[in-house]
Amino acid sequence: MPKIKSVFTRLRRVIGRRSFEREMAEEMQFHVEAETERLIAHGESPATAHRRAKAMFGSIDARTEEVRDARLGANLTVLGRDLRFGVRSLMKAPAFTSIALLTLALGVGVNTSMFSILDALLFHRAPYPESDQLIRVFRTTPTMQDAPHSPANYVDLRDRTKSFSHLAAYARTSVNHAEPGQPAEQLQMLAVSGNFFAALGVSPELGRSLTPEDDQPDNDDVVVITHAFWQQRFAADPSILGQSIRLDGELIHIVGIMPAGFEDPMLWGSISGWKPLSFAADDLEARGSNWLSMLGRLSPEATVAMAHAEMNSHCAALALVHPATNSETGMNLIPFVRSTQDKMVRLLTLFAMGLATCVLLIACVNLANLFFARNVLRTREHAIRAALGASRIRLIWHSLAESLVLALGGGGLGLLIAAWVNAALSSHSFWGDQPSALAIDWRIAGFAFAAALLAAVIFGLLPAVLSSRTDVNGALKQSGRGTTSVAHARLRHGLIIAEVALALILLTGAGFFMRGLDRFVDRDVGWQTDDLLTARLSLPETKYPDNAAIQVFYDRLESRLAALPGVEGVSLSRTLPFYGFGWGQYYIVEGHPPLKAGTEPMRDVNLVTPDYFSTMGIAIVEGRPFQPADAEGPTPTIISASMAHSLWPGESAIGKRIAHPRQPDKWQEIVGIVQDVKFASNLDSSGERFQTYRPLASNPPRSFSIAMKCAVPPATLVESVRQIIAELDPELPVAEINPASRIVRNNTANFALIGKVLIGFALLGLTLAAIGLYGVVSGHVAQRTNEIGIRMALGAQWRDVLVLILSQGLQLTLVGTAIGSVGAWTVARILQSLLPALPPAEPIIAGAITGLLLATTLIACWLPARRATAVDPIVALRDE
Amino acid sequence: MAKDKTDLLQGTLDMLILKALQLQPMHGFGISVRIRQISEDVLRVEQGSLYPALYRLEEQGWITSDWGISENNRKAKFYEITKLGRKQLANETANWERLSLAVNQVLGAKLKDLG
Repeated sequence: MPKIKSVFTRLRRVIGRRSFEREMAEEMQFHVEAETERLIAHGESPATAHRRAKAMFGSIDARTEEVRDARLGANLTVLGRDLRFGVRSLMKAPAFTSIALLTLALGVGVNTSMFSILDALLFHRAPYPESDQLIRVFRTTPTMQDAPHSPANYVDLRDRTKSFSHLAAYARTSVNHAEPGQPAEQLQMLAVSGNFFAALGVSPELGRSLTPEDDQPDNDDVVVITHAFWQQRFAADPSILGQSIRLDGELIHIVGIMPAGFEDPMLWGSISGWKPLSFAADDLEARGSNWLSMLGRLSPEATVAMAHAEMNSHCAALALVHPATNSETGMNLIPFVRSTQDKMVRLLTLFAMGLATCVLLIACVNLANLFFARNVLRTREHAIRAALGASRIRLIWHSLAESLVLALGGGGLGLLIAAWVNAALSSHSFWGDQPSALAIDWRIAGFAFAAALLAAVIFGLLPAVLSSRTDVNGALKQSGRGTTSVAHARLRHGLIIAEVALALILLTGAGFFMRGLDRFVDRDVGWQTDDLLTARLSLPETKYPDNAAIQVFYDRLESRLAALPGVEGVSLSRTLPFYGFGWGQYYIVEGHPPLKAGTEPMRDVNLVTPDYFSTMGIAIVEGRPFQPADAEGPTPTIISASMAHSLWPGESAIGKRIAHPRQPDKWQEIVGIVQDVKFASNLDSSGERFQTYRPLASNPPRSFSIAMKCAVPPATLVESVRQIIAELDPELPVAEINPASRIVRNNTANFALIGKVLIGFALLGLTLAAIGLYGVVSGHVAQRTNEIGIRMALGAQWRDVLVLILSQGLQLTLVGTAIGSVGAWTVARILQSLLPALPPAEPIIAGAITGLLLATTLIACWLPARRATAVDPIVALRDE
Repeated sequence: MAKDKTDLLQGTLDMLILKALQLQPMHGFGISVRIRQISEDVLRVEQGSLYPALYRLEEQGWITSDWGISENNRKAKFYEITKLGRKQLANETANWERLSLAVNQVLGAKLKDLG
């Protein structure tokens, strides 16, 4: 029976907290009255008896508090009441509350959005069922880990493999889409093997996808288009299925439309559709011609290791049959999602992540400092409450309640900030040329929220625990604004030093990156990006079947463009030095000892017209440019100055000869030496191969670049150029027509975005650190008001007081700066190793950043210091 | 006031409260008076310790409480010892006797040696 009653009592207490408190008050009231009556019975006067009884019992509040303490831990309702208490006491300190909320919100918000970006870049999931079973298969050679495959090898591997249920091949291709009477456009597509869609495992939105029947040479006049292309080009008209469009001059049937998002531009680049990849008989002969990417879906019972072993064994078997093309090759298997990520973007994101962590750390330190400052100021309040009977646990519990309220509020605000930052970033970041959406991942938001909670609880509790050790009597006797122990002060100073150091690291990281990027864009690349208009053309094979036809088009195009008013020079070339030459050849040098086959060095090769060097502004160091006559007979070559220096030091390279190792009798004579060029958009490589040139006419490519040196702003000529090309061939689309300087800027746009985000972080970190310093120095001033008053009463000038207060803040700043400099130097080194092409920032930038930090901290110290000088000695001394 | 007060050892107060309640249910004030009486005014229960202790004992199921009418016809909260409480009191009493006997022996021996 008592047990049931006890359960009932407890239940009643949890539910009826209010009535329990009332009962408690009643019980104690009774106690005092009974004591009074006892004293009256002993002969005291009623008034004295009542006073004595009350004195004996003490404060009813204190007693109630003690019973509450005893209930603590057994009673859940305490939590709700203390949270309310927390809100109330926070509202009484609006300055503290708003700064703490802001700090938490910024820390949580910025990190949530940074983690969201990281998640999008690093842990991107392919939008295909069981995408972890999708594996990219690369060929390895003694020098490469990610080489492509030849059609013949692909077909052999596809027919032999057991560990892949589907082994598909694909290659990027561009097709010209031109309807009569409409401007032509160039479309990016993937040419895919018939089993490609089966491997990815996604059904089309409308119609059908491609099947193995489609990739036969006489059956491949079909195409599947993306949802986006269907919407943009055909206004989402379902009757487009079965109709045909003109691609590269041929009628192609649209047989299917894939669902939105299937063409994930992060994985594939931006594409408009998929066409069958069919192999002609001679494709299957040329085993040495490698241009296919390979993607497979593991069969249910296979693992990556099994598939790897199996592919390697097929590879070895093929090498025995075809030693000329397949020896010394192996296979490299990488999960599909990971294989498509840009290594440099990944590294950069990690770099940005590191800096974001700095912001979080500064926010935490700030929070700790704020709580410390608040607790120091509240020492007296705590001492009074302790004297009134509040236990240590109770006081700590109240601090915890405050922390929880702050964490919930700050975390909520932080999520709003994250949503806003992500929206702002989404409209500025691009994968390929499409804007990318950055969604807030709720797992990440949960994590950030938990981090805020943890930070607030730890940094809220730590000072509370420390200050709860304060001796009550000592605190009450002390007439100042509160007390603080030496260890306490040392901890706060350590926090400030850490904050300044972290801010310096942040500023340096962001500043060096941004400055490096600016210098990268503005550096001397060895060719003129200003005043240069560039474009790319692709001549379809159907209309331009042979070199003669291509050459005729070249000549007509060049003369028409050169005649355009405002154009000073025109050249055509296989490529332009934005990212690289994109084509290399092995070479041997006449007179040098023969090398073992396969170990010859490689050179970059660009094919150019005679006017290329003058149009591009590339200086000719020695010899001559190409001449129209160079296209006939044994073709000459032009090499870079660094190649000439390295191969023929101390003598002229003109007249020397090099050749391709497989054509050792076709010597190419060096007729000119030109300045080295740098790849204007490429942050990754610093271009370690020697650059060489050969006449465009010696091997005319269908796909080529146009460069025009302009006397007028290049953008003004765009329409005239389009018109000339349309007159020459109305079905020919012009791609990438833009001033070269704009292309360089666009190509580095994502880096510039990262740079801007970093600058934002750095300024945020600096602001937080300044707030922290301001808070510490302010607290310091508040605590020493009496002392300052006495000093001033004894004749100290305001200047002395200013120096007194400033010097302490500046000491902390200088120590922080010294420590931060070491960190900043490390960050600069890391950045340099991540982006070798990025020019290192000048020492003056480091100086300017340190100056900015010192100036900011000086202001943060100066504001409270000035307040100290305004202390009126009389008021300060009376303020006891 | 503190002159004749002897500080109670931790846990002793619980024992004294249970002892006071052994004979009859009592209210808080009655318990404090009773302890003073039995101890001939040597032990004085701090009010600050009494009520939390009562609450603790009730939580442990050694006493129960209910509202009743006091000797001068006023509403008061009465505490009653439970079966579990009596068992606890017996255990504590035995422990206390063992302990105090030992302490007395030590102190007595010392006095004899000194004398």
